[in-house]
Amino acid sequence: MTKYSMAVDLDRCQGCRACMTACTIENNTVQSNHWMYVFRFEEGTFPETEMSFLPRPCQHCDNAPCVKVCPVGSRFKREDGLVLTDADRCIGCRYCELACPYGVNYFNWQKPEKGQYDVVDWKDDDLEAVTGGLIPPYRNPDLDELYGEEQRHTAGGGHAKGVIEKCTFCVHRVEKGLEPACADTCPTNALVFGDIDDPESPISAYLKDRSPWQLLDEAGTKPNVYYIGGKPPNKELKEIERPKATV
Amino acid sequence: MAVETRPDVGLPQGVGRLTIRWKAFLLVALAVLGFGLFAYGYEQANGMSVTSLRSTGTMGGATWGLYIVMVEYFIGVSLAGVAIAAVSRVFRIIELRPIARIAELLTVASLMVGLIAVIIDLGQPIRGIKNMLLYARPQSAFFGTFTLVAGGVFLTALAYLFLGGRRDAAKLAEIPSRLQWFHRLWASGYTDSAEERDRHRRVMFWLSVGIVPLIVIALSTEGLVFGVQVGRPGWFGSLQGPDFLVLAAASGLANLLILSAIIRRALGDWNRIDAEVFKWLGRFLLVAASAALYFMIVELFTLLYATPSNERLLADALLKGTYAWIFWLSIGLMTLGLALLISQAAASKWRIGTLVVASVAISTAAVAERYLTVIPSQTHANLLPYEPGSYFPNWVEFSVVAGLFAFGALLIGLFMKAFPIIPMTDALILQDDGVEATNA
Amino acid sequence: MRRTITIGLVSSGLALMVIGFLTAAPWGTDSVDNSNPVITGAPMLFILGIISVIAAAVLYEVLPDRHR
Repeated sequence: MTKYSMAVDLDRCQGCRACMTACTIENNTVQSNHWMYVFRFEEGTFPETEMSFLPRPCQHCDNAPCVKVCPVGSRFKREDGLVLTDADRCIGCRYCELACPYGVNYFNWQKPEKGQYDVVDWKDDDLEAVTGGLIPPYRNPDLDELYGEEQRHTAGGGHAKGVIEKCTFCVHRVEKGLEPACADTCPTNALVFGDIDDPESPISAYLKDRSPWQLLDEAGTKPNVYYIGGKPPNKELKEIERPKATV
Repeated sequence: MAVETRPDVGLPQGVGRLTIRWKAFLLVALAVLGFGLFAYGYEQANGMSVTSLRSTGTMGGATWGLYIVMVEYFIGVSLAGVAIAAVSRVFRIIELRPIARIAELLTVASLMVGLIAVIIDLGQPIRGIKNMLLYARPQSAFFGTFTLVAGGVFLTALAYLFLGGRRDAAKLAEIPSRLQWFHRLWASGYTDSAEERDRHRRVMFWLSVGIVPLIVIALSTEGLVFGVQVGRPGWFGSLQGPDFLVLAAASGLANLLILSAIIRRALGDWNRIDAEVFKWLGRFLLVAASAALYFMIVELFTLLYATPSNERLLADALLKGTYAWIFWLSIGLMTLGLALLISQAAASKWRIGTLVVASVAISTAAVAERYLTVIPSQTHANLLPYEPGSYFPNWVEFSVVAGLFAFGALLIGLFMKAFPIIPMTDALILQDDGVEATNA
Repeated sequence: MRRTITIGLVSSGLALMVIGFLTAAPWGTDSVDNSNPVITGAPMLFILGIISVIAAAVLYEVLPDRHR
């Protein structure tokens, strides 16, 4: 059976956050909603400091707490391992957000289009000359399709005010045999995606002779994201360079 | 059936008479409710981004804020009302008879307000009601709120209020007034025959027997909403259910006492709530507040020993950090309330004014305690090393909550003008006593 | 009559609650199925069950005596 998973090679990650931008563009999410987030950590005291990075997509847990607590079955787990949100069923109670120990859920606090692309002044004359007044510039039609056997509205973000959204492992791309936008974009190939149950898949081959670890393994969530190299985050790490965009 | 009335006023207890004082109350309550509705409308038009709520983690906020704090508080308050009404019937505490209806009404009003607060907190309120009816999952702790609290406890409390009032309604229906139709409707054919009294006693007994375990189970599910969360330090634990109940009992009794004192004054000459009632409420409150303070102290000691991890971060935020002033305020107010109660119990002198001060202190402590349950675990206890966040409600949230309080007060105020708030008679107790008297 | 209606309402209410609870979730299954009730609207059956039981208590008291 297919089981989609992701490997994150921390020895390769250089913290460029290209994956974050790729995710935002691919999924039409609000600027402040980081479905893929890359922690930039600093450890030690200047000048004896060391930097490290930790990409944090949704872990698509086998024992997902968000799925358990959802009061209406908007959050569900598919046979192929993807943990998805039905944007048409979500009631916006935000219980999943609190249940998740990884902090991967984002609520649309206002109409999504208000927070999209707000880092750019679209009324700027020079820019308007280029865009011809087309704002927002583009929405991928694939995001409004229904996917999987369940035929539910699960792909992408920016659907409606007052609903929860999160990383889908780019279900609309995976269904076409593509890999998620973050993995596709990563310049150092630190993100490897595939079917972990298939011994021939890129992820199985990548993990074969390595010793991966899982984030917050002790929480018992059975995550499907495997980390290679680096070390699990601890409280000695200080987060630096948080993204500026706010709701 | 004879009923004590005064020729100059018609219906008893000021029912149907709109005094200047009452009109002023109505005006203030409507104004506050109106502003609350405006704030909610503003929030609906612009999104919840106009509140202080934000996502946890990278946004460094609290996704559940004052609204959920008040949901927990109001649903907690509802416990004491119906529990007192039931206990006074099952154990035949005749002294509490005058406030039985106030207790039932407090339950109905606080549950209504609490359940509206749940809807207000939803990002998609209309879809929320629809999808809960179609898809609610018993595997989620919310199922308890939706079915047992909203369905079971609320409807039972309404049935309690309705059935308990039929005898009075039948008496009032004999008096010509603008409200006669309403009283006739409520009486629903009640004639006060021996069989009817007997049936009433049986139904009320079984409702009382049924509602106490139901309310314990239903309200425990409120605690479980937090207690089953493994991913949030400070929440996971088996004590959340009992802790919720104990604080619910204390805050509910405190509110019942305050409301009884207000109604006592409002009724003037019609008042039949004597000092004995407050003595009983004071004793009950003493027990409940002691248990609540005990839970708070146990929590404090556990926090002091928190290991250097997320629990420690949370403990620091509570004991000496951002939330310290709320934490110590809640312990201080609960201690003050308890001290006032103990001093009165020791002197065997229960003064209503002092009891009200103690109740206000305990009720405020309960709001603060609910705040500390809901908020800090979101801003200061993320398992991944996100920077600690912050949250304090803004004017929109305060206005909506004030509107909720005003709505609750309006329900009680309007009820008082349509029906006697103090039972004129009580079929059950009268029959047991063998006394036939009216208590208008 | 009163007794029959009451017993009928209480037992049908309890039955509705059991049916509603069991069909509100496909117990024991995983995956996508677990997010949908076996019967859409099953939670409504549960609530109807609660209403039915409480209505039984109210009707037991409110139904007029036959001789009147």
